[in-house]
Amino acid sequence: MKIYSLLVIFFVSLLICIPAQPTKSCGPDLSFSGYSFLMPNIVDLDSEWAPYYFQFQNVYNYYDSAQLLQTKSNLEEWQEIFCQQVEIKDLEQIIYRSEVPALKRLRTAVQNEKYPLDPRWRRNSFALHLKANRCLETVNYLIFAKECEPYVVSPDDRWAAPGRDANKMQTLIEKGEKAFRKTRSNYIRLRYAYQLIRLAHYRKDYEQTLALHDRLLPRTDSIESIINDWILGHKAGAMMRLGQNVEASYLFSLIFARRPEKRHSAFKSFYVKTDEEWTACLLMCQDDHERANLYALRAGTSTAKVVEEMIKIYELDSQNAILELLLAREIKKLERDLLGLEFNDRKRENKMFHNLPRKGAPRELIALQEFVIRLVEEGRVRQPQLWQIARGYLEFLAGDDYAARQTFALIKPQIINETLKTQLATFELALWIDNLEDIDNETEEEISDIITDHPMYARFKDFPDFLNDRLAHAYREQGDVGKAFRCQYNLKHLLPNPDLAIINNLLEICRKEDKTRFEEALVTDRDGNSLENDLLDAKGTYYLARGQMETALEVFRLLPREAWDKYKLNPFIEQLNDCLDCPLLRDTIEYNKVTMIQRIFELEYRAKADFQHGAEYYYELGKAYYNITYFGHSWYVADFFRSGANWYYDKDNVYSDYYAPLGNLENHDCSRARAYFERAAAVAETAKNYELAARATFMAAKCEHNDYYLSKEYKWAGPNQIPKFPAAYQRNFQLLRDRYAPTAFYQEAIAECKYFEAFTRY
Amino acid sequence: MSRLIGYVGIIAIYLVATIACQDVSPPKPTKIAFYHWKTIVTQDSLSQIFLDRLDVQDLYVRFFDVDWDGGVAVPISELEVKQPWHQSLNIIPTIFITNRTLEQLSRTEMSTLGERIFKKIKTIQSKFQFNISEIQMDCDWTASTGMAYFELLRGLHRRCRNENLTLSATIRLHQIKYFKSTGVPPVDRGMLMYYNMGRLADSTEVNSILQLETARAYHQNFDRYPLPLDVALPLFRWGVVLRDGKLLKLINGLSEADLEDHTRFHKVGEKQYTLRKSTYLQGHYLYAGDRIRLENVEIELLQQAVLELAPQLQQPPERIVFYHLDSTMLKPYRYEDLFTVGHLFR
Repeated sequence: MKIYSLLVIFFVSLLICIPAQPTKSCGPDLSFSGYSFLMPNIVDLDSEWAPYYFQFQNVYNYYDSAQLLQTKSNLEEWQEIFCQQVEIKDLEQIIYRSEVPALKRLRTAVQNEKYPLDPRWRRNSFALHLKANRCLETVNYLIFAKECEPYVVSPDDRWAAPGRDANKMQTLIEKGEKAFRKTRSNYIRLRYAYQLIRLAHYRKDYEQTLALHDRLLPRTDSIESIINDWILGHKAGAMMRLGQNVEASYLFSLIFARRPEKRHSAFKSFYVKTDEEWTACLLMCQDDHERANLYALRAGTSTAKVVEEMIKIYELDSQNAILELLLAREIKKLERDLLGLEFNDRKRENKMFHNLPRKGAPRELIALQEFVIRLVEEGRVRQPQLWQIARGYLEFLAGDDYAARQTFALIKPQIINETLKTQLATFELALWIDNLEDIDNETEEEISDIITDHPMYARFKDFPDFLNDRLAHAYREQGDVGKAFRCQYNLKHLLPNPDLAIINNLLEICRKEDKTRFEEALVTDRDGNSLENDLLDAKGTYYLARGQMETALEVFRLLPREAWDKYKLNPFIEQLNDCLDCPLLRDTIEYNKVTMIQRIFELEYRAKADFQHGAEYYYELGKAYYNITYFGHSWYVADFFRSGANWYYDKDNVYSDYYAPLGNLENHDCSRARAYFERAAAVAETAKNYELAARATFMAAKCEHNDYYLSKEYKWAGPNQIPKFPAAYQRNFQLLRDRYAPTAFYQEAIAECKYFEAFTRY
Repeated sequence: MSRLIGYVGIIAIYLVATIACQDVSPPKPTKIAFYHWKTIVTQDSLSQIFLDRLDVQDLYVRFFDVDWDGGVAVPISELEVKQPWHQSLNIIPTIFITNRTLEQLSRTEMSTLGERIFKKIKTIQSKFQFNISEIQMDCDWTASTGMAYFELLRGLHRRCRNENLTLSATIRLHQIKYFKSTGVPPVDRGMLMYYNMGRLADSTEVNSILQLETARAYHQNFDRYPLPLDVALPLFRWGVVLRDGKLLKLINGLSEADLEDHTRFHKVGEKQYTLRKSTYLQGHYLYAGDRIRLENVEIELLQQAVLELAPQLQQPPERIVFYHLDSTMLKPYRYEDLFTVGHLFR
């Protein structure tokens, strides 16, 4: 047998033998697998604070959303300035989707009553308003802002060099400053100031940035506008570049708290180097709310010990909404660490690939619990009931289910807010599921009711997995191994290594007359068919693979007659070189598992009874037993799953595979086949049928070699190299060479098998 | 018989001629170079002294990184030159590309990316008037990104050949030992990164930057590696911050002097500290109980590493490149010592 043919078998088997996978991908799913029952909207996570909550993890999406937010805020402010008389979409068209020439034509139209608007803008409420009210200053500003754009907006193609020509930018600054002086509108002057300060900042002239700020802003009257904070951002950026990072960080903290569209950049820009700088930054704050925001910035980093920062925020500003976000973020982290830890079926992978639960999680939980209890008792927070519910959930996460139940029961009658009501109901359901044990018929009926009727069960995607994992654990504890298995897996996951206890447990349920609804679901497939026949097939195959043919036949006979023909097979066809995908000689006879076993029984009887042809019968039996092993073309008779990679030493022939929770048992044992081949050779020798004796000896040699591949002694000889078989695995080759060299089969074997050919030469 | 003598004579003449025509000149002496891995180029006197005294002619300069951002491959952290180097320095643009970029792009998109990288390099070169004769690509490619990366290199290699430029690529130690499975990048030269070989995140690690024992385990297949190799050596230090036995962050350039304040830091072992109280340290806010492991490369360790590496190489490297040119990192070293390190390869 050539090594490459084994490799071919391996690769081809990979393609053809692996059935539908339990996961959608073509490999194991290594992502974290756990549960979460915290509602996203409980703390306004869909609000502008969401990126902060998620620690800006999905920054790429955030950039887009920040840009959109900035555009939205800007347009809304323009709309506000024009007393809601213009539509947002019209503002957007002119401010963001026009070019300088079009704006210049707009200016002409505004200046000259008879000059019409651009046809595109004849129905544009903003253009009409500008023309009707002769808003020349606004149009001039828009033209100027558009001229600044190439210098302050990143090019779409980020590979292109940014066109920031410092001289041209300076010319624009000078031009803008003149326009600033000429402009009467306070609001437009503020916008000019913003454009000029931004230009200077992007020109990297930080002194000029600050000088422009100090020169222009006193010349605009105080006005409420987002532009003030945008200007502040450029001022802070320049100060940071000039080494004034304490002042700059303080300004960034203000922007962080006030401007959602600038929150991420402010968070990233905030930079304090030393304890002294931190203290100085705190001293710059005008009030405790501002000081609390500094701690919120520090809590936002991925390496923060959040509870420590929450305590500081609370002490400074107990009503700060950020506390709720931080609470939710901490609960989410702790859920990943602790929720369902006892029964999560992916616990091992979570530890291995995600290092979860974190070593410090219990300590963090205790710290958070202490803090939450303090807040509940003091009652100074924005939403006391939210914190009370959180207290109960943390008790649940800590494993104190009794306390959790008490806390939930206490708060339940007081809650009016619908979101909080829903959240509490969710936590209560999670707690109920977590407490499931000693499951009897009554509990199973309750479970069925929850699955079909509980509104929270359907609403939270993690409930089915949470319930299944919990039930599997409970059933396992009470010895219902079949139910435990079915809670987490389909029957196809059992087939790579059928487990008799599981099969029998499930068959028992199939035959039960008064099944609960839940049991009915466990022994029914997705199409509503009973699993009984498949279980019987698995059970019969289990015995067949172990050579217990009488028992196998007994089990297969329990199947309805029409189910026998599910498999068409013929393991009696000879194949000298193992090959799974080679076309076999067609035989007119096709068997099913029942008739195959009957044929085996018949051959065994005849082999003993008919001495003259005994060798042939033994040879037939050898072929059948060989071909239903892992190495034979009819491997699927005694196995449901075969991996081409699994032919190396393993203590019990069970190979771990991600699709097989109980491992994949490979039917490697060639001992029965070998015994029949050797018997066939011995009887043929006595009957002087040397051709058959040679043939049977060759087949016995194949069994010997397979034993070697699977032994601890096996050593890979390298690509395209014939392995060096120890003498103990060469007995039949030696016999073939020494005893049957004159036979025609001997030549056939040399031609067919490179191993044997090499063996005869050396 | 006379015919045999004739054949032997011809063979002898051929052998003599062959041997005589071989280049018997000694290998070129190994040159010392540096990596410049900062975004902004400014000059400081210490760096300048090292450049001058070590007669550095080549500087590997990080021009930009290529990363995946917003659904596209983009250049980030582009080089900014505030104070230029001396014009005579030969600049080798070095581009780091992230694995996540390679994971996202198809094979066909690699040629476009290669073209963009090449053009960007040329733009920066002409903007700052650099002399360049080589381009270096840096990527810690994996089994899943190797194919894409090599495709990118193939395109760049063609482009470099057209302009008489050498293309080199960084090579990690394991990529030499297992070169048959990891593959050999299709470039002219390799730059062996002889550092970052330990288990950084392991709380029991002593020095993940340079570990002789770990390095020895990878001293295999150098004789069969098909690319000529230069060698990059570490001249940096950092503090590894751990919490609950888990890596939290790295603080570059951290030294014992930064942890002398006993009210904040408690020395618990050789180069091991715990924080007595929460504090800012070089812009990082750390919490009481966090641990810091200082890692650096003493000159003796570096010399020993070179002594062990040198015999593995098929030929002395053309360059050894110290990572990296930064006055804070250079402070603990004397240029004479670095000169000696360079000589150990010769």
